Amino acid sequence: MIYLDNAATTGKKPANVIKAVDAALREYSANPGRSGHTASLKTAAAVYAAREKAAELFGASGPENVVFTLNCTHSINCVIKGVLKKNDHVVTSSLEHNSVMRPLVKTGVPFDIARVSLTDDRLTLSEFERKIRPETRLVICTGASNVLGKMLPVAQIGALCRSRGVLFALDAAQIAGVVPVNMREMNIDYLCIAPHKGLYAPMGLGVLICEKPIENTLTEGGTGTNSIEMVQPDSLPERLESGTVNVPAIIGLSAGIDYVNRLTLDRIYSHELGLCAYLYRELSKIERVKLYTPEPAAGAYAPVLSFNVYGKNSAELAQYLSDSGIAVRGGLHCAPAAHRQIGTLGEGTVRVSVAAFNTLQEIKMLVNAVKRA
Amino acid sequence: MKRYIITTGTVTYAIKGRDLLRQKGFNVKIERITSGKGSAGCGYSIILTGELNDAEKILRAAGVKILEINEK
Repeated sequence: MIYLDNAATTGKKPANVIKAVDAALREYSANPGRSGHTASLKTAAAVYAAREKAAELFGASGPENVVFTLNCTHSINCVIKGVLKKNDHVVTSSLEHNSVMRPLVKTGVPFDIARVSLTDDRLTLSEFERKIRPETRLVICTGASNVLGKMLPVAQIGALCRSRGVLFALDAAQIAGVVPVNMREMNIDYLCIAPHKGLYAPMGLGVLICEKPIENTLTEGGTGTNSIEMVQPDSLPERLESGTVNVPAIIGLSAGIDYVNRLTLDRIYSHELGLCAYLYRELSKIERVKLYTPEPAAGAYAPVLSFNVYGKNSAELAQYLSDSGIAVRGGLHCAPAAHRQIGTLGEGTVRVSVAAFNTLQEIKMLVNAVKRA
Repeated sequence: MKRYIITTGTVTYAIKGRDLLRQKGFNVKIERITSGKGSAGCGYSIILTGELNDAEKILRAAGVKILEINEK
C-alpha cells in the first residue's frame, strides 16, 4: 500500500516512536500525577519531558502551558468554548475544518469569515484586517488548509491580532512538525496540535498550548491535586486535564518530536513539498485532471494537494486508487468551507497528502494510476 | 542542614521546580504532600535540603507556583 493520506494521520510511525510506545506500556504503567510512589513519579517525569519538548519546539513560555487533550478537535473546542462569551465576535478563515466551524456555530457567537487568497497573502491579511471589529475577542484559523494545502500568513495575522488586542488561536493540525511554528515570534495565544499527524505520535492524543488563560473548562474532574476543593484548579495544565492522560501516546509524541528534530523541519518540508510540486507538475500534464491551486511553492503551501479527474466522482476515483494500492482521500475532508470556495461542494476532491517517509517512486506510481483512471 | 517542604500543588510544577533547582546544584526531591496546605486534598511538594532563599527566588522567577513553604 502506498500511503498518501497523511493529512488524516501519518500512516507509518518511525521505529523510535513504536519502540517508545512499547516501552511505555511495559515500563510506564503507573498513573502520573496521582500518587507519590516511584513508579507514578517516573511516569510523571516522562509526561513532563514530553511537555518540555513540545514547549521548546513551538516556542511556548513553559512546559506547564502544554496541555494534553483527546485530539486537535478537542483542543480547538477547549479554546472556543473556554474563551468566548455571548457578546464577543470572532474572525475565522474561509478554509476552516469543521473542527473550528462546528464549535463556532454551536456557541452562537457571531463570526465573520476572512476569504483566503490562494495566490496573494496580502489580500488574505487585508481581509482579516477588515473583518476585525472593536468587539472581536478571538481570531481562530488554520495554519494550512487540509484540502488545498494553502498556508495562511500566520505570523502576519498574529502581529495584526496583537496590534488590535485580539486573542489569536491557531489550528496547526496540518503544519505542526512540517514547518516552524513559534508561539512567541508569531504572537499565537493558543496553539492546537494533532500530534498523530506531523509529529508521528499515536492517535488519541491532542495538544493545546496556552499562553493566555482559559476561563471556562469543558471537562471537570480529578486532577490529582487539591482534591478537597470542588472547583477545578487554576493552574495549567491540570486545569484542562481532568482524568488520566494517554501516557503511551504522550511518550510516543515525545519520541515523535525527537524524530522530527533529528530530521529537521527544513529537510522534512523540503522533501514533502518537493514531492507535492512534482506531483502537481505531472498531474497538470494530464488533460483530464483538474487542479485547484497554483503549483505549491515553499512558504505558501503545505504538502497537501487536491485534484479531480473530469467525469469521475472524487469518491469513485479514491476507491479506484485504493483498489490500485494507493491510499488517498476523496470527498469533502470535513472541510466544506474550503470546497465552497473552490466550487467542489458537490463532488469533493481527491486529496493527496505527503509525509517524511514517502518517496518519488510512490508519487510516480500515483501519477501512472491517475493516467489509467 | 535545614530541610524545607516547598508545596507546589501540581506534579508539573514540582518536576519543573525540581529540575530547575537540580540544574543549579540544589539537593532536592519530590514527595507527595503529607502535611500543611492541601495535605488532605492531594498534591506534590519539593523537598529541599539546603539554603531556601536562593532556591525560592529561582522557583518564583521561573513562574513555579508555590502554595507554601515549611521547615521539615
